[in-house]
Amino acid sequence: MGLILIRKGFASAVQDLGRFGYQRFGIIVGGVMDPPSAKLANWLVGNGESAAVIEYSFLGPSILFSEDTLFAVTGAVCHPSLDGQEIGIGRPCLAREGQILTIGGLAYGSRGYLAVSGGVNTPLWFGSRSTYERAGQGGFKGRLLEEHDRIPVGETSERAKRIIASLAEKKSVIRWFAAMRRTYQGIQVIRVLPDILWPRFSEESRHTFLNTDYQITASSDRMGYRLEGAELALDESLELYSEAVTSGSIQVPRNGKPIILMTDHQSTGGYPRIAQVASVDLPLLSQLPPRSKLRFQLISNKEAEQQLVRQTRSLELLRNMITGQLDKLTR
Amino acid sequence: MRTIEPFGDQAVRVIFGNQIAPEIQMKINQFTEQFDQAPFAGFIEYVPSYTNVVFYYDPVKVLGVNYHAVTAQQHVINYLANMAKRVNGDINHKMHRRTVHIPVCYGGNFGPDLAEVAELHGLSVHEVIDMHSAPDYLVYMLGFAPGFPFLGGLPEELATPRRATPRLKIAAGSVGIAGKQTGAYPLDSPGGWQIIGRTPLPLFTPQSDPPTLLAAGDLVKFDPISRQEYIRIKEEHSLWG
Repeated sequence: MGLILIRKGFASAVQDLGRFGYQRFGIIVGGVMDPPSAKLANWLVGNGESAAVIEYSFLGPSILFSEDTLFAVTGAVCHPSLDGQEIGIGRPCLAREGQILTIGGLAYGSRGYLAVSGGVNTPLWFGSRSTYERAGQGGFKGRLLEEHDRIPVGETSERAKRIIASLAEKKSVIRWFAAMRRTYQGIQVIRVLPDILWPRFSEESRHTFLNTDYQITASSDRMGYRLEGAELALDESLELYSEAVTSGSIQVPRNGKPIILMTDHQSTGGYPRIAQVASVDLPLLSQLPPRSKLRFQLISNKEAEQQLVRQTRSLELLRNMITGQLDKLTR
Repeated sequence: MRTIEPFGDQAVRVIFGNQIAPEIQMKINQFTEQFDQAPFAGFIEYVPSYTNVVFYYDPVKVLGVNYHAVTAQQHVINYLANMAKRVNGDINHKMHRRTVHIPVCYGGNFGPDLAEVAELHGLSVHEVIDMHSAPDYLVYMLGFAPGFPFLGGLPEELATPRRATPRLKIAAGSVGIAGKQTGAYPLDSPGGWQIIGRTPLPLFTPQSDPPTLLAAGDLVKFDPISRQEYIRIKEEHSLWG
C-alpha cells in the first residue's frame, strides 16, 4: 500500500505540523511551510489536521497510486491531472489503483500539498514525521523524495472508505472546491511587530524598513528568505550572544540586508533583529516566490493576536463546511 | 536583574543577566525546573541560551482558556513574572551538575589546525592539549545543529580567531576553537572553526531520548586519548548503533 514517485518534482518531502519540544537540544521544529493549506488538504480526505502530507516547492511530483486512494491537492495554484484528466485543487479526488497523478508546475504560490486518506505513514521521530534533512531524520529516510520511492500510507478510516465508495458509485465529479483567500501577486503587505532591538536601529533604518519595498531573492529557501532592498544599520554596533529565535524573526547581519527566518530555521541565532513577522502572515509569506515584493507594516501585539484568532476561526468554518460536504457524500 | 520581554506574538523572553556566567546559567536552570512543575495551558516549549530563556506559546489556546486575559502575551508575562518571584527565594539552592567526559584524539588528521593554534600562541602542541583538556567546561546552551554545545570556560590563552577561509566540510565529532568558544560538531558541517581534535563519541544520538549527549547545565571534561583508543571507542559505538 502506498505512493510511488514517478517524478520527484522539486524539494518534495514528507512533512506534518512540526516537531515541538526539542529546540533546546538544537532540533528544529520544521514541518509544512503553509500549515493552513496542509490542514485543508487533510480535512478534504477525512484526516486529522496533523496527518503527514507531501510538500513540494515550485514543481509538483508525479505519483503512481498502488491502490484506490482518496487524495487532495491544496496550496499553490496548479493544474494537476489524473491520467491526463484535469482534476482541480481543493477538493477530494479518488484515484484508482494504477492511476498516475501529475501535479506539474505551480502557477501561483510556491508550496503545494498532497494529502492522502490515512496520511503518509513514515515512522515518527520525536513525535513528528517532518523531514529534518540536515540531521537525516524524520520523513522518508530523513531526506527529500526521489524517483522510485515507495511512500507508505496509513490505514484508510471507515469514513474515508465510505467517501471512496460514494465517489466510485456515482462516478460524479465534486463541483465545489475549498481554498484560502489569498493573492500572491503585487506588493504584499507583511505585518510585523517591533523586536526589542527596534529602537537600537538608526531612525533612518526604521523609516526605510517601513516605507520602502523589499524583494525576496533567489537565495531563499525553507530556512530563510534573504531580502534585497535598502540596507539597515544599528546606531551603534552590538555584540550579541546566540539566543533562541523564531519563524518570522527578521535578522540584520553586518551587510545590512535583512533575512526572514522561515520554518527550517536553526533554533538559535546571534544577529540583531529589527522586527518579527506577525504569525498570521507567515503562511502567506511562505507561499511567495523569489522576486516577490514586500512592504512591512508595524502592528501591535494585540492586533496581531486578534488577526490570528480571526484566521483560526475562519479555518474552523472552512473545516466545518468541508465536514458537512463530505457527510453529504456518504449519506 | 530579571526582565520579561515580548518576542513576536508567540513567544516571550525571560532575561536573567547580560553576560556569560555560570550563576546566570544556574538561575535559568532553576527557573525552567520550576516551570516544568507547572506549565501554563497553551505553552509549547522553552529554549534557554546564555543570558535568557524563550517561552513559546500558542496565543489562540492561551486566549481560549483565559477568557478575561487582555492579550495572551500579557497573560504569559504575568504568569512567568509570578513564577520568577517564587524562584527568587530559592537562590542559594546548590545545583547538581552532571559531568560528561568526552574522549578526544588531538592532532594528526583529526586536528589539522592544532599545530597552527600552538604556533600562534607560542605554545607546544602538548601544552595546548593539556590546557584544552584541563577545565570543566559548562554547557550554556545547545543550538546551531542537533546536540551542538555552546561551551564556556576556554582558557584565555587558547582563544583563536576563526579560519580566514571556512572549510566546506568538517567531520562529525571534530573539536574546535572559535574566538573564546570551544565546542564539538555533532554532524558533518561547513565551518570556520580551528579544528584541534576529534571525539569518537556521537553528540547527536537520534535513537535515544533526548537525542543528544549533552544538555544545558552539564559540565564537559575533554579527556585526551590515543588513536588506538579512538578507534576502539568508535567501534564500540557503531556496534551499539
